[in-house]
Amino acid sequence: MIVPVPIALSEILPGVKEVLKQQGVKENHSISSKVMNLVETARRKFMDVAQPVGIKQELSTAEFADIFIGEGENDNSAPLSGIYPHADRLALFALTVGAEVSNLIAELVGSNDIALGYTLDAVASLAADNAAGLMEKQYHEAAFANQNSTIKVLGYSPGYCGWHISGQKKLFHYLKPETIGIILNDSFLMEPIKSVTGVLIAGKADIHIFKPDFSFCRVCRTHSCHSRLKSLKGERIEQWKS
Amino acid sequence: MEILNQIAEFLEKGEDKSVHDLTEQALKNGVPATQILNQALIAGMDVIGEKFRAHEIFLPDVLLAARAMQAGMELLKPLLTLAEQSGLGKIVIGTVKGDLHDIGKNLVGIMLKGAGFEVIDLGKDVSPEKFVDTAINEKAGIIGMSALLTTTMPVMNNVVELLKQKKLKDQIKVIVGGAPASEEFAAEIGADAYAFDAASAVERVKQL
Repeated sequence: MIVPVPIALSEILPGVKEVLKQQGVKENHSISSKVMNLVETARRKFMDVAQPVGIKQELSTAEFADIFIGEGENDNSAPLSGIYPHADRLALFALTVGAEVSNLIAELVGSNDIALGYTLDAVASLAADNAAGLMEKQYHEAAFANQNSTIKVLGYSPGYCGWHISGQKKLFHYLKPETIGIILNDSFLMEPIKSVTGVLIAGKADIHIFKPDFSFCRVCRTHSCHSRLKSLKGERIEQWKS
Repeated sequence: MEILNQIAEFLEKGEDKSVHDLTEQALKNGVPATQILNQALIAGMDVIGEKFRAHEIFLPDVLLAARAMQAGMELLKPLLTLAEQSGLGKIVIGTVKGDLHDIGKNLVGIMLKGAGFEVIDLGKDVSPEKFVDTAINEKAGIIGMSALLTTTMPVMNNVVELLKQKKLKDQIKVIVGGAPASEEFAAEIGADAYAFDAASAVERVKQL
């Protein structure tokens, strides 16, 4: 059953420091009042126009196996192929911060206010990531509230870590994110662009751990897995680095 | 000239209103538009570019400086000839067909404009034919393409192939960028350059 997931704006709005960090600003760098004002304005604009919505649907490991195979384009050694079979529970999810944000970004850039447009884009990207994090948290709380367990919920998305982006096709067929206004184009890109889809995998922390030395890791610029993995088992990451 | 230095300094600080007002003042004083463009606006953006590459300033400062430059350019543009507007040259940029991510490409456009290039931005979801036809019609010497996805990268190859078919590969240079692109990929498809980010894009374009 597809169920709506509440996403409160206040819970996903990124902080000023978060936005500055995303734009490459070093932590000890002094921030001018103009830059501060730019970030604050972008955050306010986001609060004015964003309309975050999300859905999720529980499914079995076997059902997900079919979705994960997608169009047969996955990397041979995608880490998720070794993770999901060990999951205690899984759920597909889709969320968006809404079309109005993208429209406003385009409008600002088009009217030559690229500074605000770009900063709003950063705020919206972070907010979408935060919303995905919120989904992980809510899924954990709902599914494992009464268990003092080592269960960890992490989201994985098509287009990342060997799960080919064409995997969106089956995910969309199953979850129908169109119901919350997300559409998929021929290149498997979502509109509104500030949307996230994927699978929430709940299982023991260990099942999420993998060594980030796959072929696609060499061209990855985000290395977002490092912090996720570190939160699971820091010392192992340190070993890999050495 | 003191007023040009002042404009450049205000531009570096991202003070768009001051840049606008001083540019207006300079024009009233009879300073030629080309001189204001080259010795104040582009000079200021050059400093910004250098500081950005040296990690002395960061993206928000660049964005504010670009906005200040735009404030001055609004006054200068009607006074510049087409040749003067082209400055260092003309470049056609866009995000390739099938790809909707354009914020990185927009930033490259800003940096190139700031460096004195005339930028024709075709937006996102741009077909190979549109890239090539626009470059021909606008007499642009460079095509710059961006892609965020491995699935849309082959379009970059299609543009290079189209230029070869039209026997324009030597006249129109190609630079590629975006998360999945690399030096190796650029070499593989026969592009003339690859840029890792917006700051390096300007340097690479200048070298073409």
